[in-house]
Amino acid sequence: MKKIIYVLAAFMAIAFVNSCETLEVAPPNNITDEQIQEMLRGGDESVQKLILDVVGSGLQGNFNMAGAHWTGYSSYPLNSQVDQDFLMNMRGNDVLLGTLATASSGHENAYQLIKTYSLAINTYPYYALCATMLTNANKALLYLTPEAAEAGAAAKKYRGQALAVRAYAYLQLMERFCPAYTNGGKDGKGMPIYKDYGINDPAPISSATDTYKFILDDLKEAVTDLSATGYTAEPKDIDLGVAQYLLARAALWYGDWNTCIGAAKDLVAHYPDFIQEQYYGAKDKDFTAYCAGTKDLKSENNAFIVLDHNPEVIMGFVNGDGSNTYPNSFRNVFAAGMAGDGQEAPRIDSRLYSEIDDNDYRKDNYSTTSANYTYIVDASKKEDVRMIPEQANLKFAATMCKGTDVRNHELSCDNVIFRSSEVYLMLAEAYAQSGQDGPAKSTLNILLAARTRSGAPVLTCDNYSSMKGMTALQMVELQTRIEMWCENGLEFYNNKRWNIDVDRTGSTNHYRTSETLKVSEMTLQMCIDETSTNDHWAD
Amino acid sequence: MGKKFLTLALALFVLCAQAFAQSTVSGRVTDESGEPLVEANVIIKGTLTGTTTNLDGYWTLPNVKSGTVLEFSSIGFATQSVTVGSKKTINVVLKSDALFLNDAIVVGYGSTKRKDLTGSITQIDNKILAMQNTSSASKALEGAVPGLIYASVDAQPGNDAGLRVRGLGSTSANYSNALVIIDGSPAQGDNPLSQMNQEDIASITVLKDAASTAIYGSRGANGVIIITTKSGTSGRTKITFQARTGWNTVGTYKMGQVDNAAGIYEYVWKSIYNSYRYGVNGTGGPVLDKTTGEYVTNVKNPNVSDADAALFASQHLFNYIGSTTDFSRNTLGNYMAYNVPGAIYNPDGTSSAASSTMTGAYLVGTDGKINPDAKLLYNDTYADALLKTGIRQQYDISASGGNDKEDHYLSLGYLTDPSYVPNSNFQRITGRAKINANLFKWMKAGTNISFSRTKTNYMGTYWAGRNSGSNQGSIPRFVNGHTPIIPFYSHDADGNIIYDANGDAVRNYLTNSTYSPLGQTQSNYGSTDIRYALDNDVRSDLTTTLNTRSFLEIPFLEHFSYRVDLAYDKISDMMTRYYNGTTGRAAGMGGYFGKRSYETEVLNIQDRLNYTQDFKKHHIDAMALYEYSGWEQEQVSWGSYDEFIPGFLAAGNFVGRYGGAGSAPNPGYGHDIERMKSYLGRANYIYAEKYYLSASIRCDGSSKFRKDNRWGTFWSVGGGWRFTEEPFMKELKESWFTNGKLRASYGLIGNQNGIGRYQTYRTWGYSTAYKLVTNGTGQPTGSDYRLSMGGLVNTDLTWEKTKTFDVGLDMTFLNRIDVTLDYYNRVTGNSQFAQPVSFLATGQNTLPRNIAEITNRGVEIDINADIIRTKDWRWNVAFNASHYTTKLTDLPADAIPAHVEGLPDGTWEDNSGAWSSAGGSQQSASVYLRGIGRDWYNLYMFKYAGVDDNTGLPMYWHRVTEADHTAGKYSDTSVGGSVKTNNYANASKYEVGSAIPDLAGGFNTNLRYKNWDLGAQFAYQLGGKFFSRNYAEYLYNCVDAQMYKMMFVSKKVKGHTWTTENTGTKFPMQWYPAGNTSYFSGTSTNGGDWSFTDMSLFSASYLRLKNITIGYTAPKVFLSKINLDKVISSLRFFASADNLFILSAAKAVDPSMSASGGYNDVDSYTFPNMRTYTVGVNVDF
Repeated sequence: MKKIIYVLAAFMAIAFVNSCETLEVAPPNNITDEQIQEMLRGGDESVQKLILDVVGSGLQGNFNMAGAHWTGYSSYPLNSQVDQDFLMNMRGNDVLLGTLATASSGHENAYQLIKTYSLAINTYPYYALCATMLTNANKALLYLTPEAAEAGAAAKKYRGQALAVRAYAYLQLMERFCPAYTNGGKDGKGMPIYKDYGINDPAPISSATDTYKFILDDLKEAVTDLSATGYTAEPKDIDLGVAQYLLARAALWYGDWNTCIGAAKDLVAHYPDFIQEQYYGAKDKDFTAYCAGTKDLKSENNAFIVLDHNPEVIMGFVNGDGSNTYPNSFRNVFAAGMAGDGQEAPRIDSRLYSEIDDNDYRKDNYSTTSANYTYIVDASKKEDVRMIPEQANLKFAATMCKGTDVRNHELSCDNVIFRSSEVYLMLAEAYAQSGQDGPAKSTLNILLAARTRSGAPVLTCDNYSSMKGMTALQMVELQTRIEMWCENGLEFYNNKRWNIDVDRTGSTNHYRTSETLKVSEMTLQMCIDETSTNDHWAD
Repeated sequence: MGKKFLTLALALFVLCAQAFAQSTVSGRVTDESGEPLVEANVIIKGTLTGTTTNLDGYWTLPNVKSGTVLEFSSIGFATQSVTVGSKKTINVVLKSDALFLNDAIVVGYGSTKRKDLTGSITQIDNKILAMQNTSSASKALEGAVPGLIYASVDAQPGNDAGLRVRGLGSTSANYSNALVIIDGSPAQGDNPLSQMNQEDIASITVLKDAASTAIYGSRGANGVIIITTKSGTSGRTKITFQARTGWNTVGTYKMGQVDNAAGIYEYVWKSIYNSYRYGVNGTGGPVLDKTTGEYVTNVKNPNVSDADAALFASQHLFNYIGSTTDFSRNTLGNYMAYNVPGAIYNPDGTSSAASSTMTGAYLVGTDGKINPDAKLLYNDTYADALLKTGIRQQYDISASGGNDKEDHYLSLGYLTDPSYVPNSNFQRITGRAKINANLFKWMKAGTNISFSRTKTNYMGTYWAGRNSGSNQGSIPRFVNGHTPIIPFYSHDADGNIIYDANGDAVRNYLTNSTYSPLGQTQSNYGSTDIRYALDNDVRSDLTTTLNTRSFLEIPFLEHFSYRVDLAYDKISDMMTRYYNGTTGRAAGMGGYFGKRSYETEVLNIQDRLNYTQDFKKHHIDAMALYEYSGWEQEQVSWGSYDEFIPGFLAAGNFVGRYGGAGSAPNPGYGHDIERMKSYLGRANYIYAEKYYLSASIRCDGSSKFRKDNRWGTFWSVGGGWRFTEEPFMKELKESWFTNGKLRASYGLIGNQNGIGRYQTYRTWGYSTAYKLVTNGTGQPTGSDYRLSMGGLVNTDLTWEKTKTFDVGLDMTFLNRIDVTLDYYNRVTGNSQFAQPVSFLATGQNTLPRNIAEITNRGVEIDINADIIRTKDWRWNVAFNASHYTTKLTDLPADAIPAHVEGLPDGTWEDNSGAWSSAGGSQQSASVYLRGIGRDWYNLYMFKYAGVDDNTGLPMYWHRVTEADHTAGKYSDTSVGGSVKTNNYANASKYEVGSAIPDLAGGFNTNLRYKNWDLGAQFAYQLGGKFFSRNYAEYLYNCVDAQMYKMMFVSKKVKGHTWTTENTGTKFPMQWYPAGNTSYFSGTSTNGGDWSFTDMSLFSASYLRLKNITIGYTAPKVFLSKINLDKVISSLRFFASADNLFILSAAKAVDPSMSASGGYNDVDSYTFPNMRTYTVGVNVDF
């Protein structure tokens, strides 16, 4: 009997003494959520502050996203904010891409105004970029609560930044996927609102009004939270200027003119200086010399490529610190990228070019002749000779990339995200939209004065040759198209607000003129990935 | 009193003396025909004491008590018991038992007799394994077991093949591997079957249904493969020595590509001819007519006459680049393999791109044929230089024996198994000691310790996964990727090999290494001196494995026993990577040297109570068991680059940090843990060896799941009915129906393989910016720390559950023909599936949830027949076949990914299918169309529609859509109907069949005549589809092949492409590949992203002769003549060949490499299976 007892005791001892806790195996290699929560609950303020500081850092990356593979393909042309915006630049009246003989890329497809690009099966990247921004913001806001913000200056700053990112995500969603609020979208749908990060059930679709209110609320709080931070000198900072810019832009889209004016005025007060003429792109007068190789322009001397001489930058990234080379590849006709060696130089529509006043030095930013240019296309200095057509932009051109004194295949550059000229134009528009033509023109005059060719009479709304007879709003529209040409897809989105169809008939250099794009066709269909996972879209 | 006492004492003494009287007993064991049975067991019943018969069937056993019961047994014969009486000689005739009814079959946590099985189990004898020359027993299982799914993936010695049972146990197919149990404990290291000596394996048992696998609970969902090693047998110690040596050569690797220089030049000539004569608008190719949306060519209105085009092609063979005005070196790379008398070379182009226009005489004449006066200058090939025959050697020695106190089995083994690529090989040293002892009457103990040291040298030059594909260092890529116009060695103007100052032949890999009258010759692929890289680069895994299995068993009461098993495995693996600094991958960084060390510990404890009792006609056995399994691994890595002394693999010889070409460029450390606890029980009841019932239950707790979902309970019930034991079957049984059993089982089995170790934990990333920007790492700035939250996790994830029903019929006819039939239905519910969710709502596209259901349904047949059984002849034939389907049978509607226009309702395109745990790698392209009711491997591809006779271009099928009709296109075809188009952009995908074969299995035959034996093993597959990337990208591609350095077109293509004179061909018109031309290749629709057509989709049918072996056993007389009969009890010589041939749908297509249709497990430039020839000798002492 003893033996039986011993045996059973041994069996039971081995079988049940071993604790079930041995099956609690947290990831040994990484910090777990539970550990973070425990630290936050721990009461050690220094530790909590450390966590909140690092949770909020890095949010600025959301303003210049690149490298994401929205569709699983690394080479997909919509993997970055820059590319998404650039493709929208192609879908307007004012920009054409290379020539019929040379253009064949995905960018050229956008230029063809292919309607299916707006269909639900193709718009996922436009959605995913915004959803990523929203996720990043909400992740940080889980910890950057109002209470945390009240408790510490750093948390307050980061909360303001996260709110700005969230608002920008929703603002872009509205700009892309909804009709313009001030042009038919007022009574329409907005977006499902998610304020918290987690396994959320699909939310009902808020109205456009409620969505804009949510955006503006976020931005107003962001402005408050960032007031102590103020306007910083670091271009990549999500500072008060960025929050005010977004507030002005969102208010403009929402039709809240006063809010827009308030935010824009605060901004322009902090950005009184403009890009000087000599740094405002390459000049046509030197074009043949650049092509012949007898003259060079360093990127450092083009304010659109390097930030050193760009006092307008509200937000930007410098090479090596968050910038990417896409802008230089897409737009610099002298670089070994798509615009240059790829022969897809963005060119200006002849109709817009003709409206630039002769005393406006921005007219110098477009070639008046064609010429061959020799590109260095790889490290072995292999050369390609390509023809640059006339009316190719020189606005974003330089023969030497940032940091070099020779022509090579590199594409290094800084990135301008938001700049103050656009704010002057938004301010002018808000004045004009609210019936304040005088302040609108006064504001425009500040910009026009800055763009007057050296030695010429100062340009104003009254003497700008092509603006005769225009309303204040039309003047704003024209100057926005000229000043912000080929930047951030602005023309496409503004056309939605200003009710301007894309119709290229009458242009002397557009080579795709048979297709048009109605304003109603500029609203992207919400992607199928979203509508199939949130049944409320069918409501 | 005294007398009585003395009388009694005397009587007792006599009785005792009689009782303990011991004497030597001997005899002979034969079969019914009088043929001696060799190695039959003669065991004293109830003990481990015994012996085996010799070659003549004789046996001798000393010290046998009178009254002892001896058991005589031999595989294939019914066991017989004989009580020892006064006779000193006992001759026994064993009756054949073709069914092996009484053979012990290893099952989960124990063994049983074959006749008592209620589950579906196949056991493979070690003789089948012993015949084959593989480094892994896994590769011997191809076609050996009905229902066993096999993927060899590559030819690398030392890699296990992928094995799974009866389809997929999970929609997480990557991880659906069978559980491998070695001597009772799960094998949890990499390539466990390569790490052990096949000669140590006594048997392999494959458990397939719920009744047999449920006892393994959550681990048995994909089937269980139980490896049992040999044990000692009582009696005289027997020493066995085996030596085998042979040759490993490349298997079928030639794909039927054009393999002579003349053919290549002629092919290119034709392409240039076509481009020049029929190209549109000077493009040298077709052009899209934007009005019709179709491509056009000038075949109806040629640009020039036939004579002009022919002359142009002859003149510009080497410098046509798609233009009629600009000429420079083309894809022939200026390689001129001939001396063309009278030829004049007129230079065009500049510097390295320069080439020449030929005049005077042409290499390829205006008739498109090679100039008959041209003299071939060289024909050395990469295959000749890089593929070598390797010498395979294997030596094994073992000793086994024992007595009534203990038994032992000891072995040592050595194997060197090279592949046909010189630096790819496998070396293994193994040792095993297995000892069981009756320590006391009340306690048994045993231990089984094995050690192995293996070194696997992979092709040192490549850095991809198992199937090296088009990786720049892949040797098959160099072999098949260079046409014969590219010599391996540098040649001078006379065609002679150039030698350096040391007298070594200079290799041709850099620009202008070989003379050409046309201009500079182009470099080889990657400008790599592949031979140097092959000789110097290192990619090796040095693995030492210590396996220990120990047990203690205590019988108590009469029918109970208590047993504790402890298994401890220690696996140390050191990966070494070295890429030389001279050529190849790390040439730009001065060489790279990296190390990664893995230390793995596995602990398994089993604590069990057994009960067994027979009374009257009843048999009951039961078991209760607790099991703990712990797995823990740590890895440390280091890497550096920029060497001082080439090839000196010392840390001090490298100075680069935080960068490099290997898998461990940065110092790293990792730690992983996985644990399981299980409680299980099983009971079997047998009545009169006629009715069988069994049941098992197992409760598993896994560290992969959170507390609330951690435990899963799995169970099975099974029953059997040996109807031939019924009285009404008596007549049949005695005449021809020897045995018949009907069995059925049902059960629930779990699976957690597809769930990551920490998948239910959200983790945070901690990062910073660095002062020193050296590949992103270095010294933190101290001010830019970031803490990023990981993605959402589903903490509710839990077990996948497979419900398995199996019904089987075991029959034996005429005591010779054994037939087993099985039908099964396996339904895996709760299967983990990445459910699409709103990105806005959650920040990610999918969340893993237990929502899918996948069903495997199939039938199997296994036949084993002793066709001839006479004194001199014995012929056995075995055949097995299985048919199964694997279908998705349930998925919530909201889990189906977003509907794309054109797809059938409820379907989506998917790419998941790689068998990554077997070495496959996931491709990004969607190649399957999935939906409820559809086969899991339902291939979805573009379809080639033949040649457009108006243009000579390939056509593709297009499915008409509403949008087409709206646009006024294809109005005479209804929506959903199909039309042909030559515009690749309009091609539609179609369901083109399943990768799963209709039938798969194998057949074996063994023939013995007197002292000669002959055995052959075949594996086959019928039906199913297999996609060959080689054919799609190269062999059948009429345009896109880069003529001089990629694999060239098939011989089936050359001369059989569409021309204006030869219409009605399978292959479209050739074009010179200028510019963006991939759209009309016919094998793909746009040349990228795996947009291939079904032109290179083949039947997955194949037949392989896995092994053929012939042996001769020296007769006793011979041994006696040479006076070795006292020392050697058996001497056998044999010769053997593996993988002698494979018959398949196309040359060098080997569907056994992939179970997913070739898409995910097999890349281009496959690493084809080896062919092995060996001779050997077995000696028993």
